Order: sequence, then structure tokens, then C-alpha cells
Amino acid sequence: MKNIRIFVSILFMVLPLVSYGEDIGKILSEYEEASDMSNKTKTESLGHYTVITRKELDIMQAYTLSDVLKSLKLHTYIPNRFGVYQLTSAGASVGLNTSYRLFIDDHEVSSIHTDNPFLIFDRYPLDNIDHIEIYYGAGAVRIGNEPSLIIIKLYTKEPSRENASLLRTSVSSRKYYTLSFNDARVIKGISYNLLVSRSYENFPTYRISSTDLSKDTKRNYLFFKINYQDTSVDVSFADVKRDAFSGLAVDLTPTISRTTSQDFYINLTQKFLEDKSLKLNLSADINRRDGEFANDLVGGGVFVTSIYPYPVNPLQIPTYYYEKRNLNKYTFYISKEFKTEKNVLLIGSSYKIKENDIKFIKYKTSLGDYTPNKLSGFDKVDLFTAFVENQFNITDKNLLFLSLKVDHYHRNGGYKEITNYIARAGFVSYLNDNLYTKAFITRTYVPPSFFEIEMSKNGQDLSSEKLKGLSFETEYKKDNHKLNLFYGYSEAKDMIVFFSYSQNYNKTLKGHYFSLDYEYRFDSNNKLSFNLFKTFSNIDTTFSSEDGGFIKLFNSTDKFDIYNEIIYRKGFKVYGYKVNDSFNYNVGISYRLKNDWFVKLKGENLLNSSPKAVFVIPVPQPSVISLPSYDRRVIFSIEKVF
Amino acid sequence: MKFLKSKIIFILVISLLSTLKAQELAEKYLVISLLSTLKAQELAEKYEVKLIEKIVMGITGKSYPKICTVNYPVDRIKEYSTYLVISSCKQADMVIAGTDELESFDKPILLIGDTEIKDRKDVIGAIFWKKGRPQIIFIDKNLKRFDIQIPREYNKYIIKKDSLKYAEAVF
Repeated sequence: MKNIRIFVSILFMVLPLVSYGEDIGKILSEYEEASDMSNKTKTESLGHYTVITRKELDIMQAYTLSDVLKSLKLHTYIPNRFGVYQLTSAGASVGLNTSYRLFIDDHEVSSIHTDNPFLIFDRYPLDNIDHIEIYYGAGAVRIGNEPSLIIIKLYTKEPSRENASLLRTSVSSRKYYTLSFNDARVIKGISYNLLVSRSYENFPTYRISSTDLSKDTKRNYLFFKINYQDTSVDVSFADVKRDAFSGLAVDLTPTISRTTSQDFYINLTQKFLEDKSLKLNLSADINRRDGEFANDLVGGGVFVTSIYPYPVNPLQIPTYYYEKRNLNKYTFYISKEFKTEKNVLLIGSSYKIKENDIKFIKYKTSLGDYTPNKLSGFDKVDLFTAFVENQFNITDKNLLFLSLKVDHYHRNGGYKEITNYIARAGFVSYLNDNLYTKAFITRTYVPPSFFEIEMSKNGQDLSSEKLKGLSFETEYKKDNHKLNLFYGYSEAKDMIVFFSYSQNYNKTLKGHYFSLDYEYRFDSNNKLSFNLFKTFSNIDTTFSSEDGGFIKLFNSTDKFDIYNEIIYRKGFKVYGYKVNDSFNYNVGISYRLKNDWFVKLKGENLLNSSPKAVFVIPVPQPSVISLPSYDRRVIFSIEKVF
Repeated sequence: MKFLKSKIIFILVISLLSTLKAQELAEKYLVISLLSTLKAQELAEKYEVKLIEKIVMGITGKSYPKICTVNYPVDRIKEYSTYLVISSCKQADMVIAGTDELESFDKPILLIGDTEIKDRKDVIGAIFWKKGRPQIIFIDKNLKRFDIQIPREYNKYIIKKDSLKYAEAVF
């Protein structure tokens, strides 16, 4: 309660800053808002969406993807046992969710091993990003994505709107620094966007049973995109070295826990025909991973399903594990759009090859050292996809979406082939100029990843997750007010869960999701956003918050940008262990100096009330611990535009 | 066998795509999902014209100033402007140009969208994008050359540099 009072007091201190600018400045702001890139890129048929515009990212001082995802409705964004921040759906435990897809422009960057993007991209720098669209898009097919529930699309800055270089350095009250350089321009018809970013992040070290748990991270990112007429080529390299927190230690207290991850991709997109309706995409992804984990025998050793003894035999428990692997993915995608006055038909196909090449594994038990070649017999998949999506105007205010995607997975190692499909029907209706509704009914699936198969007892028996659901939203806009209501229902069978090992859950999980968003615009430079969500599900144990919301206040004047945000997550109980409500309060102020210099100050988790990541320690006695996900810190940044 | 079947389906889809011809585009799509994009684009064009209108009226001091356009869509002006009167460049109070690759006029020119502004004596101002935001500049020495007194609220957009690339002089 005290926290809320502090926030409200600050809110009222900031509100007087809201003022109407000079006439020409006001038109300029309205021009900027109407020209926002997201107006061109957002895609109704992908699902219900949240858009974070360029201006919002600037005012928020959103330097990394984490700064945006931590307030995402119906989720929490918290670190898993490897210290990797994960989007976690309300109520679920934080693990390695396989149904979130991250795109940088047209390229999907999810890990080939886990089908999860966050190992490399959980705190991806946003210096080269124009805006972000997040689709609650179960069943979305049009971008050739693999089965998903949430699609996060990062759109890089448009060089013709940049014509500038940006150099930013940030340091924090803890040992943290970032140095980023972005350059985007058009030169003689060729445009490019370059990002070079390097950072070191020192997180608080937590002490459990006399062991220090660290998730400090060193990151290097390089991104380069070049466009000429209807051709674009993107090249990306990322290198992330982590202290991997509790890693594979059974009792969460490792003696060694570290990972190194490198991702490289090259992606070519070519549009053909006068109307650019034929699109071809070719890409190659290379992931390099290595990890080293150790834990003493008393703590249960390190856990890797395929080498851990069943039943437990102390002599065979691994106390040291090292692995190095190369993963490759090659993608060919083609789509064609046919437009008539009342209909848009998209058909397409893609072919992907994924390879999981384990270079070296070594583990130690009391009986000796071992170097097995594989963790499962399955290390290559060919994925064939064909999809069709149709948008048809029933009347001039009512639109019907229908989509179907068929996937066929050919898996080596004697693993069963998988053929499955995603089907969705959607409806959009503009009841009048102020009122809009949108609904989807979906049937989809999520196949097991390489990682889940390796962590299962018998990968052959692991089935795809089967999901169906429906969702509905309605939005009412009048004058400066905007109100949005969302409801979703889902049923999930054969969910792949980790109880000692990866396995299909034998219970059908059902969930109801409610969300309310309200926005009040004082003018184009100042607005207030509010969200409240509540979920109900039949999961046996809640591992993260089921209810939450946020209040965000954006203020911008000629010289100042001011941002206030409080993210609320309701408390919950895990096996009788109580986790309190959290009020993560973040504030940012930036000031524009002469000659394109900017100074920025940002306070994170100022009320020291962070959402918690909950972990169960199975040995020596089963117990539950919770650790804060966000540190209280101040970040100081200087930016120069030239 | 299934593997072969998938390959055949895949090849069929590709073949189908490659044989389909590009369709004639309808002049304006009515499919609702595209409407919001169109509306936003129209709105952006409207505010761009409002900005031009505001600047031209401020600079000329006239209620119905005459303008001509060069490499800038005149229909956009006609659609969204209430006060700007389209005329020949000879009779115009100001020239609205989409690029600085244009002949010399003895008229003040307002450039729209071009960031490579060469050192022309007749360009008195520009609207362009930099760092993801629209920018306005007025070039002090050229305003003086035409003896233009701009409204006080425009003063903060004046630049005094002699740079050939004015766009790089401001943010």
C-alpha cells in the first residue's frame, strides 16, 4: 500500500508537465504519430497485438528487449535456473517454453536446440530497432513461423527515416556497462542499418547453502542489413557468455555453471512482381553452444536425463558435465499474395532443415569419465510446410480470416514422422467508427524440440502438444480515451512438462484469460496507459503470478522525456510457500542538450519490489525458494547523434 | 513414402507459385485489414500538408498563399489543404519541392523529404526525417536573402550553419 502511495505521489508530480505545445510543434508531433512505422507493419490476421512504438521506446529508455517484455500482459518475465529471462505465461513455472517466436524483421531467431529465443536474445539491445509488435497469435501462419502462441516481431529502423549515427554508453550503480553504435542511412539508393553493441551486466549474487549463484553476462551483438530496391540481406552475429546461475545442479548449488552461446545468421529476402506480392526468403542459421556444469554428489550431482541413473545409484550420478554442439538451420520460404477488391489470398510454402550436431560430451561419475557421442538418436529434421490464408470482406465493415497450415516433420534416427496442422478462423468487425471487435478460434500444436527429446526418458514416446482455443477482444475509442477488453480460453493436451524428465502431462490444462487496457491521451506527446489482467486455470500448482497489470505514464516536451511505470504482479503460494505481491517501479528522465547530445537517467525497481522467480530444491529436503528477478539500480546514459 | 509425398506437395506448391501471373491491382483495396494501413497513410499525408500549409502561411503572412510544386504530389496539397492556392511557379509565393535537383527560381523553396540539401540560395527551409523523427529547419542566411521575417514560434528551428548538409546540422 505504501508503495502505491509513493507511486501516486510521483504521478501527480509529473502530470503538471503535460502541456500543449506550440501550434507547429503540435502538428509536427501529430505528423510523427500518424507516420509511425507500426501503422504500416501491423498485421491484423496474425492475432491480437500489442504495439510498442518508436516514440514509446525512446521515452521508456527501453535499451533491451527485457525493458519491454517485463510488463507484457498475461505474463511475467523472469529468469529460469540458467539465469535466462523467459516470458512465462501467467501461473506457469519458468522453464524453456517452446511456443514463443522472436523475429528480427523477416527472420525467426529462436534457438534450433530449444525452440526458445531467449538464451541469446533475452536482453537484446534495441538501438537498431524502430518498434516492436507482440502478437497473441496462436495459429498464426502467414510468416512461415513454426507453431507458436506468442510472436514477438522486432522491426529494425528504416534507414530513410534515420540518416544518422547513434553512439550510446550506459553505466549503472552496479557493475554494468553498454556501448552501442547504430548507423542507418541511404546512400545512392542503397540503404543500410548497422548495429555494434557490447555489454557486461553484473547481477546481484545470491547465496544458497554457502554457494554463490551468479548470472553475470557478457554480450556482443552485430547486425547489418542492406537493402537495394526489392532485395534485402541481413547478417547477424551474437555472442553471449553467461554464469549460468544454478544450471544443471540438482540442488541448485553448482560448483561450476557457465555457458557460451553464439548465433550467426544470414537472411536474404527478395520481393518480385510489380506489386511485390511474390516473396522469397532464404536463410542459414548457425548456433554454437558449449556449457560446463559441476555439482557435488551430496547435492545430487548434475542432471541430464539420458545419463542420470534410474533408479538413483550414487556411484553413477554425474558430478561433472561438459558439452559442445553446433546447430544449423537452413530455410527456404516462398509466398504469393493475390488481392482483389474484397479478398486477399496468401499461399506459401517453406522447407527447413535443422541439424543438431553434438561435437563433444564429457561427464564424470564416481566410476570414471565418459564421452558418449549422442544424447538421443535424433539429430536431424526436415520440415515441409504449406500454408494458405484468406481474408474476405463479408461486408465493408466485417472481415473473415481463414487459415490452414500443414507441417510434415521427417525425423532421423528412427523417430516417428510428424504430420500435423494448424487451423484458424478469425473475424473482425468495425461496428462503427469508435467500436471494433476481433475474434479467433484456433486449433494448433507444438512439436517436441531437440532439447525436450534429449531430456525425456524415451524421446520416441514424446508427443506434440495439442492446443485449441478461442479469443475475443473489443476496443472502444472516443476522443482521447481508448478502452480494450480481451478474453481468451485455451485447452492444452499432452503439454510437455519437466517432472524429473520431459514428459507429456496426462491432464488437459484449461485456462481463461481476461485483460483490460485503458489509455488516455493528453495530447500526442503525453499519455497514460493502464492494464489489468486476471487468469484462471486448472494447473495443480501456481509457480508465477496469475494476476497483474501496470500503469505507464509517458511525457515528452521539447527538451525532456519522462517515463513512469509501475508493474504489478499479484502474490501466490507454491506448496504453502508464500510469494508476495510485487510493484516494480521504473522511472526514466532524459534531457536533450545542444549539438545532439542526450543525457539520460533511469531508475529500475526503485521500490525494491521485484517479481520473483520460484525454484523447487528437491534435495536434501524438498524446499521452495524465491529470488528477485530485477535489481534495484540506476542507469546513467549518454547518447550522441551525428 | 511420406517423406516423398511431402517433397511432391512442396514442389507442387512452388510450381503453382511460379506459374501464377501477377494480378492487376485494384485501384484501392477495400479489404478491411488493409484499411487501417491506408487510413494511417492518409493521416500522415494530411499532417504533412498541414505542416507545409502552416509554414507557408507563416512565412508569406498571407491567408491564401500561392504555391507551386516540383516533384511533390500536387494532388496531396489539393486534397488536404484549405488555404494553399496552386499556381504556376512564376506566380507562386513559394515553391514546394520534393528534391533539390531543380532549376533555380527567384522564389523561396521549401524542401520536403530530402536530407541532402545542397548549398542553394533559394532553399529557405526543409521538412525531413532524422533519427526516426520528422524535423523542420529554416536556413537563416536564405531567409535574410528573401527578407523573410518568420513568426517567433519558428525561431527554434532556425539554423545558422553554412553546412552543405543541413540535415546533419540538426536533430
